[in-house]
Amino acid sequence: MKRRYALAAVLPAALLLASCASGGAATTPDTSSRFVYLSDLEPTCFDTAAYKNLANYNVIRQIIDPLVRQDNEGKFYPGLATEWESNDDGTVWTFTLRDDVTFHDGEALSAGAVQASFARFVAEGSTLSAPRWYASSQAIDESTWELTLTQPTANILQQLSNPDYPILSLASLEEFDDGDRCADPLALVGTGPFVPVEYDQGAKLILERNDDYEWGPQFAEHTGPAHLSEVEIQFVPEAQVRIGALTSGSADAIASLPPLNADAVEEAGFVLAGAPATGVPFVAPLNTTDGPTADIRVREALRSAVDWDAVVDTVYKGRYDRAWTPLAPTTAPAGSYDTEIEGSFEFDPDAAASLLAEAGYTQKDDEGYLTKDGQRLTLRWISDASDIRDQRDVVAEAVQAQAREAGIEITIEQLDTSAYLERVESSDYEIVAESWGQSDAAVFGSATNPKGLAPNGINYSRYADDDLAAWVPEAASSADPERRVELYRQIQQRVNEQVSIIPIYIQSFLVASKDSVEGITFDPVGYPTAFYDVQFAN
Amino acid sequence: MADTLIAAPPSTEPLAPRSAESSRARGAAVAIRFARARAIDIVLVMLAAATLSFVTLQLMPGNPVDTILRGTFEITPEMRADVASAYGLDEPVWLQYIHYIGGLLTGDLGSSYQQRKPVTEIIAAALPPTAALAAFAMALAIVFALVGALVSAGRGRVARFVAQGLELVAIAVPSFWIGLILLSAFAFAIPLFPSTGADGFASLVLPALTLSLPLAGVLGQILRERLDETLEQPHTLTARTRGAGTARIRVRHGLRHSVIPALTVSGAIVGSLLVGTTVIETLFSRPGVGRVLLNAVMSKDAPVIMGVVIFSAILLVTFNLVVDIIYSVLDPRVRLGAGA
Repeated sequence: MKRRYALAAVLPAALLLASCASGGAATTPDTSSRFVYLSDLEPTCFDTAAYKNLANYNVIRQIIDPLVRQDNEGKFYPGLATEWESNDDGTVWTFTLRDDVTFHDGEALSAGAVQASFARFVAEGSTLSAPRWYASSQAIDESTWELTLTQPTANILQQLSNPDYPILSLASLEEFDDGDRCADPLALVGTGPFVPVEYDQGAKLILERNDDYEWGPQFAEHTGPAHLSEVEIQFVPEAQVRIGALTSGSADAIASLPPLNADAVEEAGFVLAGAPATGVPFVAPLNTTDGPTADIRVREALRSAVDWDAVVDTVYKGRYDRAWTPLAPTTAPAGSYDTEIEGSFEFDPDAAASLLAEAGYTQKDDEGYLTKDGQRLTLRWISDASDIRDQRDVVAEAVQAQAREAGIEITIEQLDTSAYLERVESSDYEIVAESWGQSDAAVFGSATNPKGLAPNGINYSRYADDDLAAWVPEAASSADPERRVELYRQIQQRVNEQVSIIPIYIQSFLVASKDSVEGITFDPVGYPTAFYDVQFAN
Repeated sequence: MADTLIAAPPSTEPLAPRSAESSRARGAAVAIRFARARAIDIVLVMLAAATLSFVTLQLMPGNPVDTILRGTFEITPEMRADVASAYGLDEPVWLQYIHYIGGLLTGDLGSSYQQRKPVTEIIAAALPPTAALAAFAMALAIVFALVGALVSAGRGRVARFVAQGLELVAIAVPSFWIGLILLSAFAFAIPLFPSTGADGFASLVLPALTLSLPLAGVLGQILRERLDETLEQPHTLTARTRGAGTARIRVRHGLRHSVIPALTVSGAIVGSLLVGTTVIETLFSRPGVGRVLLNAVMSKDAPVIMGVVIFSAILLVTFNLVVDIIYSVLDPRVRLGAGA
C-alpha cells in the first residue's frame, strides 16, 4: 500500500508533463460522439437485483429505466410510470405505466413485464432476495400495476427509483435466467437510453444509443435520444492508469479520481465534476455495548482527542467535507440533516484527558498509553479490506496517530469481508467505519435502529434506547415527510449526545473529463448517472 | 518433478551417449507406466488441493450467507434462510464437502456466489487472455535470459557486473512499478501501445514485458552462472581444440548444460507467473484468471477461489510432467519414471 502512495505523488506529475508536451489534447474540439469512460469498478454481477453495489448503478442506469425517477433534490418524477397512488395506509400502490415505451428488443412496455420483473424475486428456487417490503404484486390491466407492501414504507418511491428492481422485457425474462443476467449485461433487456452491444469481461462494455428513446427524465437537459452515439466503458482498476489515459487523450472521462490527484489534473486543463454522496457518509460507529467504548466517557474522549477537520483536510486535500452527523446533508427528505449539530463539539485534548481520568484511566504504561487496573486502553478498529477505498485506511492511520497523543491505543485490523462481518456480528470490536449510500434518510434509520443489530441490520454501534426504538420505525413508515424530518433530526441529536457514531467525512465521487465534455450528471446517491445528457462541445 | 531431479542432479560432466541396448518396447512400457503414475498424481493433487482449500475456507471466520447478502441494509431471517438453501449452505459441512468432491470428479466446480454462473465457465472464459500473457511473457523471459547469458558469460568482469546488475534490478523492482513506468512511457507519453484491455497483440506487449522481466532476471542469473562454469570446463577446451567457434561452443556445448538447472526452477516460475498475472492484469486492466482470483478473494467467493486453486494445482502438476519429459530428452541419463 505504502508504495502506491509514493507513486500517486510522483507519477501524475510525470504523466501531466508528458501530456502538456504533446500539445494538450484536451483543448482540441472533438466532434466524434463516441465517449470513452474509464470506470474503476467492473460489476461483479450486472443484475442489480442480485448484487447490490452502488458502483454497479453507473453501468446499469445506462441500460434500464426505473418506474419512478428521483432528482437530486429528492423530488419524484415519472419514470416508466406516469403516475402512482397509494391507499390510505400506504400499503397498496398503483402505478400507471407509459404507453409509448419499448424495450431494446422491440417489445412494448406492459404491466405484464413489470409484474414478471418483480415475480423473479419470489420465484421458486430464485437466488434473489425479495426486498423486505415486498408482499405481492399484480398486473391489473395492460398499463396498470399494483404493488402490495408488507408494511407502510416511507421511502418506497425512492426504493423504486434506484436500479435494484430492473424492469426487463418479458421475452428476455423467459430467454435468460438469473445467472445469465448476472454474468452478461447483454442479457439485461431494458428500456434505457443505451443498449449494451458488446461485453468483454475484465476489459470493457460497449453501449450504443437507443434511437427510439423518448422517455428520458423530465429534469434532464434535453429530450429524445441521448447525444452520444456510442459509449465505451472500460474497467480500469488502477487510478494512475486512468489518470494517464485521460491526460494522454485516450479517455474522455475517468471515474473515481483520487482527491490527492485532483489539483494536478485540474491544473492540466481537465474538468472535475462530483456530487456529495447521500445516505450515511463515512462514519465510525463505536461499540456501545462491549469493550472500553461501552463507557460513554471513552467515546466522547476519542471524539475530542482527534482533530477531525485536520484529518479530513490532510487526507483529502480539501476535496471532501468533514461530516458532523451520520446523515449526509443532501439526503432526502429535505431538511432531515440537522445543521445545529455542526460545531457542537470540538477538538479538545484537555477535555479528552479529563474524561479518560474520570473513566478510570489514570496510569500510563511505559509506551505512554493510558491504563486502568493495569489494562491498556486499546480500541480495535476493524475494517473490511475489500471495501477500503478513498484512502480510508489512511484516515484510520491519521486517527490512530492523534489518539496516541491522548494515550489511546488504536489497533487497525484489515479483515476479509467474511471475517469482518463475523467480528461485527459477535460484537468483537470497538470501532468500525463504513458508509452506506442511499438517497433517503431511511438508511440512517437502519444504522441507528435498536432492532438492527448484525447480521440482520447495520446498527454497528449497537446503541439502543426506548426513544430510538419508537422513532426509527415511525420514521421508516410515516407517510408525512415533515414528521420524518423531525424524527431524523431527533435521532441525529441522540446519536450526537451518545457519541455512538463518530461522523468523519462526506465522500464525493469525482469524475475528471476533457474540458470539451459536457453534461456529466450524478444520481441522488452521488454516483454518475446515465450518460444521457453527455455531449462534446464544439 | 522433484523426485526425478533428485535422482539425477544436474551435472556439468560431459553427457554420455544414450545407452544402445535400450529397446523400443521397454521404452513404451516405461512411458505407459509413467503416464499412469502421473495421472494418479494429478487426481491426488486435485483432491488434496480441493480438500485443503475447502478446509481453509471453512476454518476462516464468517458465514458465506453474510457475504452474499452484503450491501442489503435490512435482512430478515427468511432472506438468510432463502440464500442458505439456494446455495446449499444449509447442509452439514461434511455433506457440502461430499457434494463438492462429487462434483469435482464429474468436472463440476460449483457456481460462483457473486457471479452466479458455473466456476468452470468463469475460469474457461478467463483462461485464454491469461495463457496468452503467460506464454508470451515466458517466451520473452527466455529470449532475454538467453541473449543476456550468451552475451555476458565469460566476457570478463565488466560484462558480468553489468549483467548481474540488470538481473538484480529486474528481480528486485516490483512489477507494479515497472508496469507503471512502461505504461507512462509507451502508452501515455508515446502512445505506441494501448494501456488497457486485451485486444490483439499490441495490448499484450506491455503487460507481457512487465511480467517477463523478473523471470528473465532469475533465468538469466542461472543460465549465465552455469554458462560461465561450463566454459571453463575441460570439454569446452576440447571442443575448442577441435576447432569449434565461439558461438558454436556457447550455444551447443555451454547452453545445453545450462538449460537443465534453468528447467529445474521453471516449475517455480510457472507458479510465480500465476501470482504475477494477478498484479499485471489489474494494472493493465486485462481480463484473466489472476483478476478473477483477486475479485473472488476480495468478496470471499469460495467456489471461485477453490476452483482457481484446483486449476492452478492441476496446471503445476501438468507443467512439471512436461518439464520431466523435456528433461529426459536433454539429459539422456535421466529416465522417465526414475526414482519414482
